[in-house]
Amino acid sequence: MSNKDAHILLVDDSAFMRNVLKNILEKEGYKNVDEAGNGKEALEKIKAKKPDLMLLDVIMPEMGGIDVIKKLGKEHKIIVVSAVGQDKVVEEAKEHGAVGYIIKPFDNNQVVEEVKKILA
Amino acid sequence: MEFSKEILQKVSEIGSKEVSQSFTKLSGEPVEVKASAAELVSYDFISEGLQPTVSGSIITYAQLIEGAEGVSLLTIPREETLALVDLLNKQEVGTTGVLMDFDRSAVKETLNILSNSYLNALSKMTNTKIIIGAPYMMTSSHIDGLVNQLKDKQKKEDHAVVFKTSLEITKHKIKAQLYLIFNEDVVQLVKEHI
Repeated sequence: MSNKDAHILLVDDSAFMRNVLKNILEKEGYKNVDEAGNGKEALEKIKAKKPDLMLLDVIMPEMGGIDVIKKLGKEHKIIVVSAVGQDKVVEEAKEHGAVGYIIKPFDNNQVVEEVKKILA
Repeated sequence: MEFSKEILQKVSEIGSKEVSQSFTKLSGEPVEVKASAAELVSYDFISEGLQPTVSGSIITYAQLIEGAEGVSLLTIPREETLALVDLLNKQEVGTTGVLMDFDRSAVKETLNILSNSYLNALSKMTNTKIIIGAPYMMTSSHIDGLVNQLKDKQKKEDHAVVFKTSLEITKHKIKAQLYLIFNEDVVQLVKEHI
């Protein structure tokens, strides 16, 4: 499987932000991109099909990102993409298994480089 | 949340700078900080800030700051919100005529990012974890209700700690006001209206 066939799940309650991330990834050649609007929806999608990588927001209604990471453990590749950039939150995310943390607003290159690095 | 004068000053300086850098990145256009202040204000000051402008209505989004009894509010005049949406969507200003759900999502995310830019600075300076909730739009009737209730609640000695930043995307004359308000009464009233 080519790296660009990777199944990537975008989890963010903002349709706008999901669209931004999807456009960045599709421009880089990643065509297998799925979306979820909150943590609960993400977990349901993961039950059906495990993604190769998740880009996960922190603050979401129903279930936030940190709770998702805690539920999934370290078996999943998760990059947090959030406006919350407080040291304690970043540490908590990484402690529970996040492999990367991108703070919004980001440069498109940051997302591309981080995704490439994790999927390599 | 209690703040010393020194912390208020420092957070205001750093927070405003972080917010304007974030707004510049989001919009793709240079953003100027027209004013920034951190002070104790009366409820009237808050009400006046939320009142519609002379030229038309304002769009307001609110987010609750959990664990610190605060609320973040972003206000932008309606016409300027349409222009902002165009910038966020990387399209020509003047394209958006009516706000659709996707456009509201863009403005909500803007509040989320700008609020957190400020709160990241506040968290660092006070060494506390501050979490913000999901953003909600407040309709004009919500704003009217909130303003009237604030006027009723105001007693002589009542004050709120407010961090206020006025921003402008100069090229397109898009003005936005970001308020971080720390006051239990204000938080309770906003909760009733979102």
